[in-house]
Amino acid sequence: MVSLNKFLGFFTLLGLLVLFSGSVEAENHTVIVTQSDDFTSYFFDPSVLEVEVGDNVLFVWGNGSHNVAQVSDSESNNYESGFYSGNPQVGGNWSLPSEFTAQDGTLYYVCEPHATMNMRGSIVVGSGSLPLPEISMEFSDFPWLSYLLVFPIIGALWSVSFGNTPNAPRLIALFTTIFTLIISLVVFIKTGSKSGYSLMEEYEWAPNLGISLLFGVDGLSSPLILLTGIIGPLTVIFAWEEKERPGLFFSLLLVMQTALYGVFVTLDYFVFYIFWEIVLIPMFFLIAIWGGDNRKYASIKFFIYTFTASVIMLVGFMALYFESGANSFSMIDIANSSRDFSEDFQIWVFAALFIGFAVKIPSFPWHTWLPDAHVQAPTAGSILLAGVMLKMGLYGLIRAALPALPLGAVYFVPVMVTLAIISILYGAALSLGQTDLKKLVAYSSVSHMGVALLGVATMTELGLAGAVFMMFAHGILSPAMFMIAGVLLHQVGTREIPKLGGLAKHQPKTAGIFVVIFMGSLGLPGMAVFVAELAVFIAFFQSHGYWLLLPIFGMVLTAGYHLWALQRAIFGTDSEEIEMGKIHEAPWYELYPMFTIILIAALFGIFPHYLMDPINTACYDILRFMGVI
Amino acid sequence: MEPSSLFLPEIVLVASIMTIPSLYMLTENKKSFALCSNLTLTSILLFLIVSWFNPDALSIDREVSIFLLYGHFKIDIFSQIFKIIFVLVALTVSLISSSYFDEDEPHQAEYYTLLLSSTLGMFVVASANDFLTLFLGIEISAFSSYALVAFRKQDDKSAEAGAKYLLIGAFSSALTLYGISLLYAVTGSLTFDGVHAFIDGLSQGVITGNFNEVIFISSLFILAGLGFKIAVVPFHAWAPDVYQGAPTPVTTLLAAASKAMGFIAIFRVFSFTLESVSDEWKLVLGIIALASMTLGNLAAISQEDIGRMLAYSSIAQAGYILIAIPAMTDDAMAGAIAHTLIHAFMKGGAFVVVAGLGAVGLGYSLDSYKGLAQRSQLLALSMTVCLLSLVGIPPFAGFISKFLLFYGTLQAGLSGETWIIALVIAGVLNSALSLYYYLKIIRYMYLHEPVESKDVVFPNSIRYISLMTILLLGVIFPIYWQSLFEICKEAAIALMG
Repeated sequence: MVSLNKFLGFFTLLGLLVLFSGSVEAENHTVIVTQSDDFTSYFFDPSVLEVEVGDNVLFVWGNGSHNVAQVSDSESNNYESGFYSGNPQVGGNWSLPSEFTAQDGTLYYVCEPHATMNMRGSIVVGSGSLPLPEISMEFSDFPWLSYLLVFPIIGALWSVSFGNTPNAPRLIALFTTIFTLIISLVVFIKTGSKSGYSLMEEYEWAPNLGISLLFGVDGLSSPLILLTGIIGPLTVIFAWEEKERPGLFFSLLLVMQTALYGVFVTLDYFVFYIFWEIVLIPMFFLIAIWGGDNRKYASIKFFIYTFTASVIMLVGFMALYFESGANSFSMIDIANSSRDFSEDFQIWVFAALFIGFAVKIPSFPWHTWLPDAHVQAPTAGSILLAGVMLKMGLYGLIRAALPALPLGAVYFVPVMVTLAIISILYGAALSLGQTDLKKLVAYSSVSHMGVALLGVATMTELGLAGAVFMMFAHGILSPAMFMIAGVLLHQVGTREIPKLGGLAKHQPKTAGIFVVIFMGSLGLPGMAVFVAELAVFIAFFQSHGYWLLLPIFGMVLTAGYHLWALQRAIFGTDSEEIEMGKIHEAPWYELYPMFTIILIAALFGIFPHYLMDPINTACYDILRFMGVI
Repeated sequence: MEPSSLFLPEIVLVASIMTIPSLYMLTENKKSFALCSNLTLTSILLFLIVSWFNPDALSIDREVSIFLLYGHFKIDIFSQIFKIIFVLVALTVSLISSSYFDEDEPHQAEYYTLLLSSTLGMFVVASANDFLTLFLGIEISAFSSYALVAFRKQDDKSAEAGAKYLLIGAFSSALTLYGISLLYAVTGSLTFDGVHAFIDGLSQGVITGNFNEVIFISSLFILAGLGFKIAVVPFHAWAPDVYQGAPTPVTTLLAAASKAMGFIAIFRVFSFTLESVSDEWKLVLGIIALASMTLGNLAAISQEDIGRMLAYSSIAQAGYILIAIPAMTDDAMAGAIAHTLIHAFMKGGAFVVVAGLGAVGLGYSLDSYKGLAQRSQLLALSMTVCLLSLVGIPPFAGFISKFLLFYGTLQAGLSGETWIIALVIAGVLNSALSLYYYLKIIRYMYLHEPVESKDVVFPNSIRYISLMTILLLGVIFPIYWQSLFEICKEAAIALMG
């Protein structure tokens, strides 16, 4: 009996020890309160301290006279309530009362005399979220971005004033787009891979409502600005022989360019929305006036579909504005108050924004407007639509939704992954079944943009960067695919794949370019799409494991429909339905744009870092801001 | 100057109303009536604009309301902006009328007299500070419009529309009057301030008594009566017939000015006078707003006549404006006022184009809009700007006013009553729905070939007014919308005290 009691007693002791060791193992941390010897900087060391619940924190004074006073947030300088070490003292130490480290959260504090010299620190207790990283903002001496917006508008007015004279509008349009391409290049190079926004400009518009024209570029938008710049002149050259009302046609292209630039440079939700909607108006007329046989239906469907989605998005923007309480529509200000948004609020608002963006991406099941719009649009319209307009959706998602609504975004990851995978597979499967080459390309866009959405949904740096790279790569290559469809219609007379065949013998140069473009689009190593797909799939494997097999299967289908279409249209025996004698090489104004695109796609496929560096910086910043990494 | 000089616009209007019939005795020249009316309205417009920008010259302060005629007549920023709108619309109508009606159209003297007296009624409504003045103003305006609608009495449609408008108008006046009399029985007062004070006291327990049912019923009657004026569901049935049947300049007046007048009455009564018993009528107003915008837009889709389509679109627009009233905040009210103002420009601008097509004999069916762009780029562009504005597509003025409206309302919804958020979302979705039928007209104008190849020359007045519409809706309002917002905010504060 005695030994049993002893035995039990031993275990009780052991149990108690184990029980206590969890809570008594409090760590001691030290923060040095000091200044540099030459009085230039005042700081706490470490300024951000991470502790566990129940740990002890000791403040030890170094040089100078300081105190420690809690403040409400990382901006505030004034002590109101909370812990306080007393009046400034020289030397000595002070330990933080234990009640302050008893629960999760983030404590901000300053040294009162030196708060304005940025002597501030924070203690992150347990899971308490880290203080928001600062977004660096660099204003520009020279209004580069305003020029980007203004020049195409001037060109548009000039071009429309020439009415239906054949030569002047296209020359003006070419001149304007080349000029904006140069500015875009300057913007891209000047932005570089710096962190934060550069080349910023701000013009007040409605200060009472907190609306201003706030422009800025970072590594997320600069590739897209470059893309818009590159696509501009290519579109104009490709549409060189436009005979029907050329003045209006080229001026609409230019208005479209302004609106697209506007979407990519704006850092204000309200102005963003305005540009977002303005994009629709020229596109509507481009489809409706110069479109195919079914253009009326397609243009109206396109307009109503995207407009409906974006008004829901506008309600989301307004909700963000009111909830932030900052009386500002600036994306930076609203993102800075994102930590105050409750999770429920974030989920609702993210849903509203996601609908607006998903229709534009377009993601399954909101993709149905795209094939109609693409097939009916004139080639120049398709080029802008697939090349740049489709990028607005994902750009908006990354720029406008992710930083302001981190919890909502994380909540929607499964939805985004599901929709992305369905888009990839469904888009690819539908492409396999198309006989119209243009429709095939349209559905392949759904599939490709699904890959980009998948990249965003991984919420990792690599995935996000891959998604942005995909936006650029697809933005370069899918216009080339539409150009192929345009060339076939002009030179051969049909886009129906079953009616084609044996073209390679009769137009070898053109067919060679076709092959390279198709290979690039299906993800051949050495071309830009490959880099993007690789990055997205690696990231997806890291975050979701073997679910990767589903999108990879999509890639098999992608290779399938590309190669099958190529084989049927270009190679094989001569088709009996077309007169082969009448087929010529594509004219210079159709060949050169495609050739240029191949060069650009190869350039960024072989040297992806030119593009990847800025993108990486921006994606890292956004994810760090969201608190995901 | 005396503050009574602020009464000058009304005095000039009355003087002109008496001058035109006497001119009729002196001369047969029909141009002289139009000239007299144009001059009158231009001088009033100038006076109002000058006094707006130089209140010091009249030794008045825009921030402070001025009471005339023993307090029955109130001049504040709210009344002044609406007066400017009324006189602008009346001037537009007067200008297009001379090109719309043929030289030998009979009864032109009466036409311009009635136009001016209708404007006078609207002026009275804008400044009314008690229920009787309000009612008087509505009736002055309404009786003139009954006659105007039936102006072409040989035309069956015009006569039918006039009769319909008269009957329904009389009925709605009776309802309003009954509601007013009930309120008078309870509160013993007819001035807005008096009723407001009584009801305020009631809700704060200073005055005891259980008047909730009576106030509820009287507010329903007033709402029904005024609901006819602004044509909201279920009091909307007259609008399509009247808009279709009346001569287009008269329709312009009804759609742009008369509607705004109805809204002034609604704002004065519900946002100020009955404000403290808002719980009684809030939900009713919300349901009416929801029904109006949805039914208005749905019914507009299948219309084949431009007048009817725009009438249904007007019904829907009234629904949008109404959602701001249950929100009961300055910002929402400012949005409602802004949208009422811009609506006058959008609808006015659209009907001016309709009048232009009518004047050159192209007709009023949607088919007559096919290929308009080939006939006149200016008119097609003006119509496009007005229609895209009505949808609320940036950057046009309609987007801005609609944004202010939804902005203010959503703010109120988020900070309190969540059901108002549903109204905002319904409004937003309805805007998308309305896109369908507006786009149909735009598509007809730009993408179709004209049905009949007929060479037409549009009258100059219509072309110039269209150009002004484009500039105002497409350029000036979008750029200076901060000022628009500030003015509407001041007006809202002046209105709600």
